[in-house]
Amino acid sequence: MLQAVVSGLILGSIYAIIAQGYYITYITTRTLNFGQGDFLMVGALLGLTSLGAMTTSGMNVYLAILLTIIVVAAAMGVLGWGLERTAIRPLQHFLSIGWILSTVAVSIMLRNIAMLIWGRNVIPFPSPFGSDVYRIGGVGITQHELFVAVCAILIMVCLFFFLNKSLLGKALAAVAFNSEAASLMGINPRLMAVLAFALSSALAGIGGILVGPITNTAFFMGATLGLKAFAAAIIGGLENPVGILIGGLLLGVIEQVFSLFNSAYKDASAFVLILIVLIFMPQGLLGKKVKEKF
Amino acid sequence: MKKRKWMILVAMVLSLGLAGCGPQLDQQTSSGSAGETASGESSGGDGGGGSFNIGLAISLSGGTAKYGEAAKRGVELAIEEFNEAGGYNGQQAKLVVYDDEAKPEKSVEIVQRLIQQDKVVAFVGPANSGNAKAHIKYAQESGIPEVIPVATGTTIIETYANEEKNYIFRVAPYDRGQVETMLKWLVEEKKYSKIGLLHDTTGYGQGGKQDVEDVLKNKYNLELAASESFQVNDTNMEAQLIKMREANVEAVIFYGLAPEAAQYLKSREKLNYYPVTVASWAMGDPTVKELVGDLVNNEVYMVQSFTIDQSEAAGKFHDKVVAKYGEDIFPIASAQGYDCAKLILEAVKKAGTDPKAIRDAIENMEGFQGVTAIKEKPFTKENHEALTSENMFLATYKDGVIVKP
Repeated sequence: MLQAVVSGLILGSIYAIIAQGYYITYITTRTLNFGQGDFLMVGALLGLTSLGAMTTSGMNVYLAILLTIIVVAAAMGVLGWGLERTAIRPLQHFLSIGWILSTVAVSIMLRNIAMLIWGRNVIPFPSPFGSDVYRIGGVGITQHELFVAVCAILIMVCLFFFLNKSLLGKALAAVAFNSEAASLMGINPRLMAVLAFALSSALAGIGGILVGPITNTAFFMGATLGLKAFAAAIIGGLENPVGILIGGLLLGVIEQVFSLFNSAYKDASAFVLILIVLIFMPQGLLGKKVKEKF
Repeated sequence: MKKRKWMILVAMVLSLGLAGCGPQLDQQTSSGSAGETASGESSGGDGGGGSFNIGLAISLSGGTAKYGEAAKRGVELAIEEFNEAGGYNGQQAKLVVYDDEAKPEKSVEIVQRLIQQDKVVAFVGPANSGNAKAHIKYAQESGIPEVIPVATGTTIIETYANEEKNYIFRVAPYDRGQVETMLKWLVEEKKYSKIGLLHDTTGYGQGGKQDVEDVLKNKYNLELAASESFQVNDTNMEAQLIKMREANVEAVIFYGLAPEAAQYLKSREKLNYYPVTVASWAMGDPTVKELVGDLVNNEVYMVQSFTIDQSEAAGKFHDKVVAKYGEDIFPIASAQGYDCAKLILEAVKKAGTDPKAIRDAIENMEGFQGVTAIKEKPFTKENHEALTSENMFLATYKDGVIVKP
């Protein structure tokens, strides 16, 4: 049981990292990247390739990890910028929902391109920390999983301070609150939208590097993870980062604990949770209550 | 305005790129001979000169791509040897390859294309049981013999067993036989009575579950101590293993494909719980070893019908594959592919290029020398399984290589 909870927390923190990507773009532009899962896949494969290249050239492991994270975050940021410019902004007319399909389209293209580049097989992603297992009172946990958990917390904290304390973050929040007023204050809402997408893709990319050694990497790995992360975001409330963290952890733990009783319905348990949450709290666990004005 | 033009340009380039990619994927796998088929040649019989077509309908992409690719290499080798030896009456064999993408509907499409357009005299395929179930109807109805190198679903061969002429043959170890082999070892030799089953939720695992339960009940009057399932792409199997441990399971039967097998082995390590594991032959997929490294060396057994060390012919065949392709990506699958094609070609040597005559010749084949554990008389009218539980055995990993224990 304890083991299931620990595994669930780690799985959940991965969901939460990816789900923060949904949150950032949603609050600034009211749009989401439905291909977040495939962006994660690209990040994982890019990370695998660059980490491999760096370690074979004899670089220090920790430096290589750090550089890989920077490289992937930068590359994914560019990809996110491209996504916003080509697939979201041209379609974001008044009341248009064309972007829903165009993000899906981009993600399918990415999947196929990745298949052509990295092949069709499942590729092993050796963790830079090796595969040693720590045992704490009968609960096994790998070094990499610890690393993932620490990173998840670190990323959330950074994100929190960035959005709440930095000038750029405040600008993002201002656009989210009222974009017209923000633009009167000299903030460029379009720039902020691009920033939001770049940030969200970079997060997905880092998420990819983190999950790679746990899930193994292949061109089709993103679909389920992206969907689960979306579920986490909805459960937690799309407009609350703390809620998303809780939603992710909850989802991970429930999945693992549920499979202790019946492994066949593990995935169903996650989506039943969504239904229950949505029925009783349509705005998510920690979402703001909004009075509908109709 | 300028921006919009730029965007249209990007869109056009993208769509051109996509248009370029689509058909290319298809052509790449058809090995260049699909277009130039003359229908007269293949059914003409002993005309002398020219060529006849042999089909290969297997997955070269999708989850079973590695099986397909390896089988393709085996088939190519067999055809090459046949042509070098002069072919049949001066007729050369030509291979027509299509990729079924591991999808049943695609598989039906390409099998029809092989039969109607390419006029193959016989064909090899597929890798997935679901695909086989979807398309064997067309082979049977048009009277084109099919030899299956990889798909293991028990019921495939039984489908037309009561017809006057069954056109479907198999060189892969069928599931029921695999299960019998596993349980014979577990129950009769090792005397285990608490057996757990871990299977995936696809047709493959479900079929395996049914076979395991049937054989246990009918042959040994036992029941499973625990039966757990997992889904494709699951990231760990800890919960299932914990349940196995709680049920005091002595041996686990694992029914799933390589990526999940890798996750299973990782979870075993994480829980520090190493039950004896007996798996279907999918555990022998080299992907497992690539993904988990040394973890395969610990109490993992799998059903096989081919190991490199089992006979001289097997070793020679392995060397040949390595010489031609640089590496043997999946030894058992390439060996089975080779035997499938060789069966067809031997039949052509004996009976000519009429599909019906080829079928009869395969069924009555004698003195056949294959590289897998296949017998010299592999088939009879009643039995279209080349590998029965008699010539399957359990192999294990020793220092990263699959060997007979």
